[in-house]
Amino acid sequence: MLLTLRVRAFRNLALQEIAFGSDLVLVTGANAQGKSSLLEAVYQLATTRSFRSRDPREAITHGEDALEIGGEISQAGSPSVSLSIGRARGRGIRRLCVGQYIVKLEEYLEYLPALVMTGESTRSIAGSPSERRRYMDRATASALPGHLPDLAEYRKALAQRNQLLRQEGSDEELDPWDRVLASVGERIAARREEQIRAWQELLPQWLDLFPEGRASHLFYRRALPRSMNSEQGASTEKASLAEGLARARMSDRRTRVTSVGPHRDDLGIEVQERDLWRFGSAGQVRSSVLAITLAQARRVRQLRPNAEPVLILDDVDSDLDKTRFDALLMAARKEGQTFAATSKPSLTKGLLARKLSVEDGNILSDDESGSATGRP
Amino acid sequence: MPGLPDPLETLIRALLRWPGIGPRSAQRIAFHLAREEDGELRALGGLISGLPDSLGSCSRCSNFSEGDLCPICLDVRRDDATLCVVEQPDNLAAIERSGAYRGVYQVLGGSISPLRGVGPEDLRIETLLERLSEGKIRELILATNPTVEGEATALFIARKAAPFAVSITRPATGLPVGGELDYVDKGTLARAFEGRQQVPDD
Repeated sequence: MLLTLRVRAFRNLALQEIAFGSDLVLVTGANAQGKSSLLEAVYQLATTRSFRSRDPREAITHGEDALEIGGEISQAGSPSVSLSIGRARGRGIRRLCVGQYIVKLEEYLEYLPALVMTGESTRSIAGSPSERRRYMDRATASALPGHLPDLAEYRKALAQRNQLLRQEGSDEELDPWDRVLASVGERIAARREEQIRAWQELLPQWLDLFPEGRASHLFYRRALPRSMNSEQGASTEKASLAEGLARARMSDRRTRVTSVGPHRDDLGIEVQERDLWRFGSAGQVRSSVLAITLAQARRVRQLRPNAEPVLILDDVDSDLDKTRFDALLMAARKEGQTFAATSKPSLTKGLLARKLSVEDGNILSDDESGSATGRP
Repeated sequence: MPGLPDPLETLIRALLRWPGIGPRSAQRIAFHLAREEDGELRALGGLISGLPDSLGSCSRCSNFSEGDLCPICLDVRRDDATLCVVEQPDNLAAIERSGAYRGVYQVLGGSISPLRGVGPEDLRIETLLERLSEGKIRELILATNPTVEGEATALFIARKAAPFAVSITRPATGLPVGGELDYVDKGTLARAFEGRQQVPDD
């Protein structure tokens, strides 16, 4: 659990240190005051990445050279430990610390897995396969950190193969790249498939949030060359990536881009045999993504019993009434410490939680105890 | 840096292009050199400027060499039926330091990378195949780097070498010796598990 957060030069947030001390943190405030920035700081501290921009350096306050985020986390059965990130403009200089030690990314990510859901992301997940891939890879990597280096390796090999296609390389030259892609790609696909199966099994637990959960089918859709699809219909799941790449080569040569592999695969969900991404209502899509995200958090806890995840819910309440919002937060806090931001203060009434409001970058306590902020 | 005389500034900028040298090290080296005596500096400068004339590459394996053949290719005690392929002389030097290998080498000069414009024809793969065709080599060890480029290069060579009916191997990637499991990074550990081997019984 994240006990405190300290930020410096992070977007519009004022220099401050906040104590959380609850498994549910509710952040309210009008738009553009800094609610999302606060959640983004939590997410960056946990994952070193941002859910708002590709480049986490964009969070450095205008006119500043470097940002800093720090926080104290409690761990089951061991003493609390502090995490911190320093990030400078320019050549991507980044410093990750656990306690007083500078550590590598891989070790840093051991401490605080995080899952995020935003109003924006639930919309884009329905509309974009690449968003869905990012969505499943983020959760898969939180559960299985070895996923990240494989993704990086795959991207490199893919870029090399595509370049070779553009310069019309020979079959002899393409072969080794196909084999490298196939072996890394199979590992990536296998991990995703395994996670999706686990999410599917967990989904029925959240029927009050996602009533369609019982009738839904979550699956991994492999991109296959057209010839393989038409021959074997839907039963092509066991076709190997090596075979797919070989069969796609002719058409890949024409289009000069690799058409099969995990970078084209997809997370599918059907409710009563209808593709939810295409035919579901906005509300159905949103509730399914919420439920899947809860399942992802549960899976992280199952696979990493020593690292309790944090859940970040930014502006996901747009069509939830108070009852459903409460149900969501109650379900979320069971899976891990939950940070939720909303622009509707009325939604937070009656909830036992740490309540904060953000005004012009200043984080204030809404609890009776008074100010949450102290100068570090 | 402000306030530094031009020669020092230029020297620091030149040092910054060296591998493993950051701004702080570059400055330290430059200041160290600036304090050094004339004779020392000229001797060092001579060593550097003489390199193109004094150092060539081995006509057989392309390792750095003073003469036509490098000391390894000249050494009759080396096992010339075993050939180890590496990307760069640095890799060769690392394997030599380990003392675990008594065969000979072929330095490729890099790895295949379409993005950097390096194809098989830019590496010394033809030379390697010629050496294989002489019929003396029985084992080919592909010790290219464990990167996607190194992997693809190894696979390319393995295919090309198949007709020569030699045994083709690739060094295991795995756990560092003398370390403890909990200090090994996940990627390495995952690979080591994938490449696990049967414990031989007596």
